[in-house]
Amino acid sequence: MNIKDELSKISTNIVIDEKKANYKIVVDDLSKLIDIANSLKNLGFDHVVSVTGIDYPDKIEVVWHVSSYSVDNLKGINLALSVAVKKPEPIKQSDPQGNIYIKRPPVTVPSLVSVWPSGIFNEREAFEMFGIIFEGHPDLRYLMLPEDFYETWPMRKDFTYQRAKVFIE
Amino acid sequence: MSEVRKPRDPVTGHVKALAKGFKYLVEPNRMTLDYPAETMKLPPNYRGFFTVDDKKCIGCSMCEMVCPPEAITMVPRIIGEGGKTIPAPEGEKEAKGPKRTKRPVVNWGKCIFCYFCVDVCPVDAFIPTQVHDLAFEKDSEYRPSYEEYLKPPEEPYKNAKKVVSKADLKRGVGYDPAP
Amino acid sequence: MNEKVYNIDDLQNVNVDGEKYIILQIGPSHPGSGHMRIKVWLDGDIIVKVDPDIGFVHRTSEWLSERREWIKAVPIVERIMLPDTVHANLAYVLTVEKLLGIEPPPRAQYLRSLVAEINRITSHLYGIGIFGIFLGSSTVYMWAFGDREPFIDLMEMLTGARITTSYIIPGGVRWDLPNGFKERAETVLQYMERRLKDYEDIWVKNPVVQARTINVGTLKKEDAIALGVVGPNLRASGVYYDTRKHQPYAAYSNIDFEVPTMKNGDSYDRLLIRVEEIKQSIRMIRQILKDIPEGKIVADQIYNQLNPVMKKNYEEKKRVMFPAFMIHMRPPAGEAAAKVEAGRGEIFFYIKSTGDKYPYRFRWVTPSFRNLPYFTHVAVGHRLADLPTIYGSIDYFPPEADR
Repeated sequence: MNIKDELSKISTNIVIDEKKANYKIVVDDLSKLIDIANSLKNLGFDHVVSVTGIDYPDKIEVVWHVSSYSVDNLKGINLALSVAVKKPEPIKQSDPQGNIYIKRPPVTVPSLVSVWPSGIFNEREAFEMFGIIFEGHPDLRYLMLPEDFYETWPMRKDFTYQRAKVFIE
Repeated sequence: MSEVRKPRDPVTGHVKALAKGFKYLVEPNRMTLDYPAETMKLPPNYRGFFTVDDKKCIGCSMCEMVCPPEAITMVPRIIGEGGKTIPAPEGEKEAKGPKRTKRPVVNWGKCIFCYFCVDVCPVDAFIPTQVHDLAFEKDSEYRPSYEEYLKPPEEPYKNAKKVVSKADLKRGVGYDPAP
Repeated sequence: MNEKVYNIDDLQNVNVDGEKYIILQIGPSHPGSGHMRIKVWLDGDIIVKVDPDIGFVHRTSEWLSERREWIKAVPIVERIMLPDTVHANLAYVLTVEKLLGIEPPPRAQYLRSLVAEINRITSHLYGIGIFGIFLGSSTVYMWAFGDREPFIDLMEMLTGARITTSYIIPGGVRWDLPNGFKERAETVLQYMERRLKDYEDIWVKNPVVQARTINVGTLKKEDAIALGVVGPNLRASGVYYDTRKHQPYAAYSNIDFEVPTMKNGDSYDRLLIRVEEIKQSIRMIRQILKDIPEGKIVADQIYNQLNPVMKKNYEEKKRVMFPAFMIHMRPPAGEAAAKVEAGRGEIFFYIKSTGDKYPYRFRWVTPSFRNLPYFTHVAVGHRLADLPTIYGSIDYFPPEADR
């Protein structure tokens, strides 16, 4: 089985870097995502290693890394399944005290938990860190962050913070 | 590779476990070091407290740049007689002029002893020691002044018996008197 | 194991029906849970549903690493995975090397494998010891933590630190083998082989342990694959997968070793597999010390940048100092992913570089995080008293999962 041929049957938009052992499928149409994921699962990619977002100035890229435990010649491959979503414009809001703060609305992508149940905790983490709402996720709650981090999306690049002065200098 | 799982016969199992326990009761496998009556002499590459050679240092700030927990700060100094440095005037923050230079000071409350600074130094000016068991009482002691930092760290329990650890076939870790 | 089957409607009513089920919060400050909370729904003392609540020791390692120079992430990732420091260090460095296009020389590859295998033994002993105290056996807890000591001493002799070694750097390793290391390692290995027999009598084949672990927390092969669990826990369920075999890194393609697998996937198998892996690691360390090639311990790209003082140090003390490149490292734009088999399972790194002095996206997934589905799936149907057994057997380490 030639992995290159098999992947090009599934999607035309594949990036392969043999030297770094990178295999990446870039999905340009959100509605095709679940179909592509299903055909990858039929090929033998049976579990999700990591789900993460990458924050760019205008878009958020969501990357699923999948791999295989059951098909021998797929065990050495880390396949990335990537989809980019445009970020909505940030909304300026003011609180009762009159302070103006910027609210960054989340983005929405379909959840792949129905295809790969192993992504359930990973998708929860990507949700709280990047503000990616996974539609169809059975249990999309905050995983690690405390309550005062609600809707701050700390892993986005424009997240600001107050540095704690632990050591007096 | 997978072995067939057959629970061990309870009688034999308990007897064997008890016998082994009794053996170690009579002949315990102690590898305890009687600290602080005995202290260990550590291998020469052990990463303990370190100080800097005032004359060797060229004030290049590489150690400050590489320090992962940002524990190193550079203090302004003036090169005095014999290559030794003297403190810069009060309130001076930038090192300017021909005789002005900088020297590193380590905040021990932040240092993680990764020795990246010791290894990145282009003139190998840091003096590593194997002292690792210093304790500080106050927050200010964590942050020595440059003069305090120059003094080599003093080992506690100087009168303790020095031992070196060795691999011991019977006990795992054994201790020999230090040479 | 309780035979009662809970249907999904029951589970959805769990939250509102407080009278039917007792909701028990184990942790976060409880010696039986580590730094996490396990929320358990109980019917009598039968577990109906488990919700692991993690994040109490979330240390924002990804966030911190994205705002620092590349080399400064080495101590950060180590401090997240304290029992598996070398593996975390190695996985990060492998990813950076892929981005930089540097290949370390063979001797450095062997040294990396050597220190990784020593670390794997300490990690498994740590796991066995914690499992012991969870079952109430303080003997094996003391034994395992004591027997970690000779191996930690070996690590200290080689790397200069007991746990947080920071030994592996892009392009190679920081110190060469010291004199007398081979003899000392051989003694320690012989000691460990003898002790493993003692462990078998007092712990592994002890009828009490067998009674408490056999058929407790069983995860079938298909479920293990679907849930994506990793490491010894995956192999205990019978899946033949080991990153060292299937994506070889360091010197593992030259080393002859077996990947032990079990059939049943219960707590007892998860204990046995760790003992088997210690035996394999002992075998590997012997091979590495026998076959280790002579030569440089750092890649030429790094060596050529050393100044004369550093080169003198390299020749005399076999110590690799850092050229300024280490601070100003700017890997070319691109992305790289790497996997490393740590003691507890597979570490995954995915780093995106934009050619800047900081990583643009620093993503890593630790084995304990991927073993989280164990709580939600295998504990259901068991008695509450079996929860410590299951928790101990999967060798879960909360700070590692929280990152």
